[in-house]
Amino acid sequence: MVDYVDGSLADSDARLVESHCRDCAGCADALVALREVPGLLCAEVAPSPELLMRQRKEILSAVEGLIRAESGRTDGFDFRILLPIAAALVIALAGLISLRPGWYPEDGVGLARAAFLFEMEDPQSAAAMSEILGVPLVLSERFWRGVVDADLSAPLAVGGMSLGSSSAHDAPSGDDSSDDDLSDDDFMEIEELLGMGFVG
Amino acid sequence: MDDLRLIRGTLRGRCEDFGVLVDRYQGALYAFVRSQLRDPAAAEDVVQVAFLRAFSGLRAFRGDASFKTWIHQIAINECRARYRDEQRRSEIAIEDVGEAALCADQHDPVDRVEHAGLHRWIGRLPPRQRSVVSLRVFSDLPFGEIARIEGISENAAKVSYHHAVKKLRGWMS
Repeated sequence: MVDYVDGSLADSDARLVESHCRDCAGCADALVALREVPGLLCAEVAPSPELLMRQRKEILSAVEGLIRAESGRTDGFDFRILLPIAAALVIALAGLISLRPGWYPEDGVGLARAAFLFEMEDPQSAAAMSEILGVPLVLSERFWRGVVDADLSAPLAVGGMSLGSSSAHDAPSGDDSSDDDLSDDDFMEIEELLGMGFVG
Repeated sequence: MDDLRLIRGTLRGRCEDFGVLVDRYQGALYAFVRSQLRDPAAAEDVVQVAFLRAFSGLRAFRGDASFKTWIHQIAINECRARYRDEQRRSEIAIEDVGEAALCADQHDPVDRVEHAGLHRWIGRLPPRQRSVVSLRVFSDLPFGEIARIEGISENAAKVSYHHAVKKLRGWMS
């Protein structure tokens, strides 16, 4: 019936509807309703041109506001987007260091040095790392300050013994400045720790 | 110019292209929304919100349905949200209303506010029939698009429309 009123029925089907409605009062009424009601409804709710004009103005002015706000947001660089990148970098770096051969697991001294380096650069990351690696950084900072200040790239010499290098017996030849920087007490403390199996 | 071209123009920053889309669908959308809500001011507001939401989400418009169907869908969602809010408010408010006032007002909530003419009858239709008849009559959407908006089959939309129109004519006569 709806298709008939819309004019979307094929001619043969439309003729069937017409012949049926001639004999069926209910369907004939429905047909009249389908033709009349939409027109009556439309006449009632047609908005006034003034209303449409005013509303159009309001919509477009709001749209322009949105465009301005959008361009304002893109004008200045929003540094907040760097936060997740920075966090990801810290995590990646921590992962890299923890997996790097030579620092872990066979060389506990190297591990402490790495953790200490972290502490110098970024105390928070170092603290987190110390917890993960089980290295007490408060001690390591005290122990290795002189060593780090002297030369981080050189093999670490403590009490005539080379630490953190491929062999503990590759002692540097004489004038290692780290010897000068560490006090006797520091050496004793380190040796004591090595004896305890803490860093060694 | 077709809708897709206007949408592309809007996305390239041509605000006047969006203005053409507003001109094209604003009247039908207002008539549709007005048939769904009792308050004319709320209807104006919903139309405005629908266009602004459409503008904000234009990049997400995939073109599966027409822009007209899309914006009607946005408006229907907004109408339903407001209707739910209204229901909630009236449920809360009823506890604060005195007994005498409750006895005096026992009509259907839709009838509480005076409607002009046929609007009153549309408000008495079940929600689906009200939507279908409004989308068809005021927005001139094809039944296929109405079915998509309502999440029903095209035949179900036609049957719903038929029943609604019959009811309306019965109430009017």
